[in-house]
Amino acid sequence: MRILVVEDEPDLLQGLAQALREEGYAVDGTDDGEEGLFKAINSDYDAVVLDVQLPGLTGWEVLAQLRQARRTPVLMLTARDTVRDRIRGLDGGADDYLTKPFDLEELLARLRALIRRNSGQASSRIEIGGVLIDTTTRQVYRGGEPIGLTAREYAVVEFLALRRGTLITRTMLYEHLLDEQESTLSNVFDVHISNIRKKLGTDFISTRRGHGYCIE
Amino acid sequence: MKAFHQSIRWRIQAWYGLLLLVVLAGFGAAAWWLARDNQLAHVDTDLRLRMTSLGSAIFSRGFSSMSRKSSSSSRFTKESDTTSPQELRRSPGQRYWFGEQEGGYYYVVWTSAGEVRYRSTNAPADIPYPDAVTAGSRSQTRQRDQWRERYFIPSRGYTSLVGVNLEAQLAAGRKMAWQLIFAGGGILALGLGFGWWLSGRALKPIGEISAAARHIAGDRPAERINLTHGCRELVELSAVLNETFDRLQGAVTRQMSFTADASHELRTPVAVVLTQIQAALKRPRAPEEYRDTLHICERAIQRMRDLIESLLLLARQDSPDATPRREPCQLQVIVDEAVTLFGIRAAERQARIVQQIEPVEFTADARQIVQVITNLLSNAIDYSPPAATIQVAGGREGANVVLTVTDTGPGIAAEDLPHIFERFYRADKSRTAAHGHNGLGLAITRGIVQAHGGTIEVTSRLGEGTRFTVRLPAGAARNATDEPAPEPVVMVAA
Repeated sequence: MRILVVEDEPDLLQGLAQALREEGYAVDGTDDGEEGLFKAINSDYDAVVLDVQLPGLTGWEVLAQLRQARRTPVLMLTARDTVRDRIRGLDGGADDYLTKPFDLEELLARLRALIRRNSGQASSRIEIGGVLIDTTTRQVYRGGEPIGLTAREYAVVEFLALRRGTLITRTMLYEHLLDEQESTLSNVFDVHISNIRKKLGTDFISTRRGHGYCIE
Repeated sequence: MKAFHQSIRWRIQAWYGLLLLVVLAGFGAAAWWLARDNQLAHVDTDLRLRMTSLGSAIFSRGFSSMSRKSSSSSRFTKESDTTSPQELRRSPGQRYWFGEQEGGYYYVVWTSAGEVRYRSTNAPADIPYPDAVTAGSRSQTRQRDQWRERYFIPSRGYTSLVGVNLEAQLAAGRKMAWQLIFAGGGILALGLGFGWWLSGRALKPIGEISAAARHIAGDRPAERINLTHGCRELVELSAVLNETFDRLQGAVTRQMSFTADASHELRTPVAVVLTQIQAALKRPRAPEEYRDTLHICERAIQRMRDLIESLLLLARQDSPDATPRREPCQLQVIVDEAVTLFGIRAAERQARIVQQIEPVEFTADARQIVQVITNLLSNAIDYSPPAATIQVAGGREGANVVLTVTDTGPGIAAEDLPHIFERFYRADKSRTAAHGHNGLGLAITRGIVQAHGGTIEVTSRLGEGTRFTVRLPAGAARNATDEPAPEPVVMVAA
């Protein structure tokens, strides 16, 4: 999953970005509202963490303009905590609203919920055949046994599982599982997919030659 | 019952009622007295007339009384005349002046020895002999209970007295008095009633003002008293109260937004620290990572500390007894101190500070003025590109000390200029210029300058740099080249 963090306080931006990366997300960050809007419209992020008080374009304006183009889930961060501001945020198209200072764990949980909801999943545990994916602990079990996946492999599994039934092209994999600073080697994901098949079974992921991958 | 004697309305009513009572009573009493005097005057005139006619009757009889022995009129008894008072025979015309039917006038005539000689039939018994008359006249009027009598005591001859029973008049007078009292009472009651209604109407707006003020102080602070008609004093009062409410609301709003801004400002560094620490604790880390986290936390906490100190300063400025200390200062010394405090930052940014300070002495709080200069230098250095030149100039201007800090940095946009002294206002609106700038520096600076009775101005144009000008009243300042001020003379009681 790829997240965009728009936050003008540099220490907070850095801290958040790093924490999210350690959670297995691909993270892009910016401290400017206009740049954030540009990025959010031009890439398909799985979620956007958006600060309200930004230089240039405010968080409200970014949200309004983003909503005209995309349905990306948005979690707003703010130092304003009046009910009126929450209502404004939620009615304005935000999917969730957290006030600073926030608990890091709560932020991570809410992001997971946002992404899960966006994929149409009700539960944080996904069962496919004999494979169980627990998105909160980022653990995968096969036949009850925990399977060791690398962070990248897990990211691929989670991404495909949340879009179960959809054809996932390589481009989408690049777009959603790498942040903008990572170089794209054209077959890095092929390697991951093959490793996943080794660990979870060959029919776990189907290949559509010339198009992409899919979990049925 | 509420202490009604403390109500304006009751008091007005009481005084007004008292006044009305006094006026009515005075008027009534005067009217009654006048009527009585008038009546008595009439009676006295009648008494005088009758006295005259009695006198002429006596006179015409007088000689005949001396010759009564020679008369055989049946009117006279054989006994001495002095033992049985007789009616005076009068001429038919005179008879009608005495008697019950003519108003009850009677007469008595005494001899000079004090024995009753003549009396009218309707004269009351036991009329006492009159006292001697006062000097200067021989006839006098006296009032004896309900009888009013006029008598005449000649130097020689008979004493005559004419009188009348005033009972009827007295009764009429009493009746009139009661009528006046009742009428007056009625008018008083009417007057009081009208006064009550009138004062109620005049004071009704006060009740409205009270109610409105209670609302405003309670749950509707934006409302105002709506009183545009009515008596001028209350309309003025409403206007003054509304103005006061405006000012209070302004102060409260400023206070609330200040508190809100302050807490916002604090939330961000707290969020930084919390996120850093929580992220760091999620898994084991290398010491360098912990060190990084701790540095970042330290930075954030220093920001919080600076913010807290600035807020306390501002709060102290806001308090009413924030008068600065007054001590003699030398401008050059103060500027040097500020520049020294700034040495490290200036060196970091390779900034040059050029001074042009005239020797000026003035009275102010030295520490605070140093802070003013450091604030201005800080702004100049941080918002200028590296290796910039900053000019600090100062001197005397009339009764003021003038200080300017000029930089050649990017300048301030015109729309920001009126706001830069506001609390938490940041012209660049980006917290990335976080050299410890929390938007309060200029607010504090202005507060200090104003507390000293001075002014601070800024001129700037985008791309051309910025100049801050501070003017302070020099107090007892004089140039160092002037002769020293005379020593204050201390009088010591011998």
